[in-house]
Amino acid sequence: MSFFLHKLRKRVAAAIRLAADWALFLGIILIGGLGSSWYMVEAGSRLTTLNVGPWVTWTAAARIDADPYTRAHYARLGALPLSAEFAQTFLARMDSEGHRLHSSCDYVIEGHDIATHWWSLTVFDDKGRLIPNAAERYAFTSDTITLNHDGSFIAALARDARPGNWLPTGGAGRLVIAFSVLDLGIRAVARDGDEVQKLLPVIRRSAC
Amino acid sequence: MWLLARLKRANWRLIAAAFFAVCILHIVATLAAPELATSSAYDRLAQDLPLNKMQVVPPVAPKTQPLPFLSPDARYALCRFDTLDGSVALTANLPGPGWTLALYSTEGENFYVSVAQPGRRTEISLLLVPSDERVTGLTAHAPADAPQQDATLTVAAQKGLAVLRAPDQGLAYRARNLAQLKRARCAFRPL
Repeated sequence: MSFFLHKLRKRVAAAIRLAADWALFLGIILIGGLGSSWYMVEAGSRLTTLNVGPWVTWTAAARIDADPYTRAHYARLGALPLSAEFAQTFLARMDSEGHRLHSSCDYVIEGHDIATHWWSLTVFDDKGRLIPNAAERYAFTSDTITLNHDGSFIAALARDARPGNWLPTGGAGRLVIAFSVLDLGIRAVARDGDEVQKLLPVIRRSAC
Repeated sequence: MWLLARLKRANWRLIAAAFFAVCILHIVATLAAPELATSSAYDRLAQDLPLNKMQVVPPVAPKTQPLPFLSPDARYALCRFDTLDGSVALTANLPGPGWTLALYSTEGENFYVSVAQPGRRTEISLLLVPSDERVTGLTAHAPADAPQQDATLTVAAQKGLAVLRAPDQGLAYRARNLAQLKRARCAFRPL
């Protein structure tokens, strides 16, 4: 009797080992396949995005010849950008020192007006929603921002009112800043990292 | 030593099979993602838009924001077009920098853009025609430059959105820009 019991136990153990091996095999495939796809679609890679400091843009956004990752990214996001041939939207989730943007901190955004481009600066919450505020201020454009005499600008992101170009952040939690640049036909939207860096503002944390 | 021993015992055929299976699943998941998206930008916008009619949408604000990351840096006029039974005539004026007229497919491909040039008014006149054998010699890859004034450019397109965008230039210009948006036309013409 004990011999049969011992044999049965060995068979059950072998079956469990086989099932565990298959579960591990399938688990690795599912996590590896779906996880790598999710990462490439959500975060992008050097093949699909251009990273300049804290700013990230998808280089083939809305183009007819866009790669599958870019198509999937915008389909999941549900956004409708202009073709990257003419416009680029740079999103920043970090400040220029690499800290996560958060409404509990105040930020100063410093940049220069670009004569050859129309541009706008908007603050969103982490899900791309506008942040409700009594002042009804959500964005500045190259037409509405107050420039300094040398063509530079300074915008403040803070919960409480600030003088000058202030964008309220309320209690939104994590923030995303969007900098959209529209080529006015004078020259192509810059694609080289060094060239783009000159166009993009610097995000500095002023208080936390 | 332990790792070396484990590697010697590893079933390389199984590892290769897992690698290929991961690659196949990666490709399938990436290609299927647009189809599996619960609500595309076209779906979200099209549900409130009449067919083949230009409509100025309310200013983008927290309660009226139709799409994520859609900035209130502009006012929009939208036309949901469908050329199944005929063509659609689209006319708009782009009076200054920041104004654009863009055509999107239902998948969100921006297959035509006209961008206003500084110091030049741009009159746009487009004829959207079905992209099947009824109209030959046309391509959806239309030239993106603004057309000559008074010239009608024919663009092959089946279904999608026309988006006229008026940049926010400040309070003083809002009434003028709204009037320009309202002048834009999107009209169906039976075949």
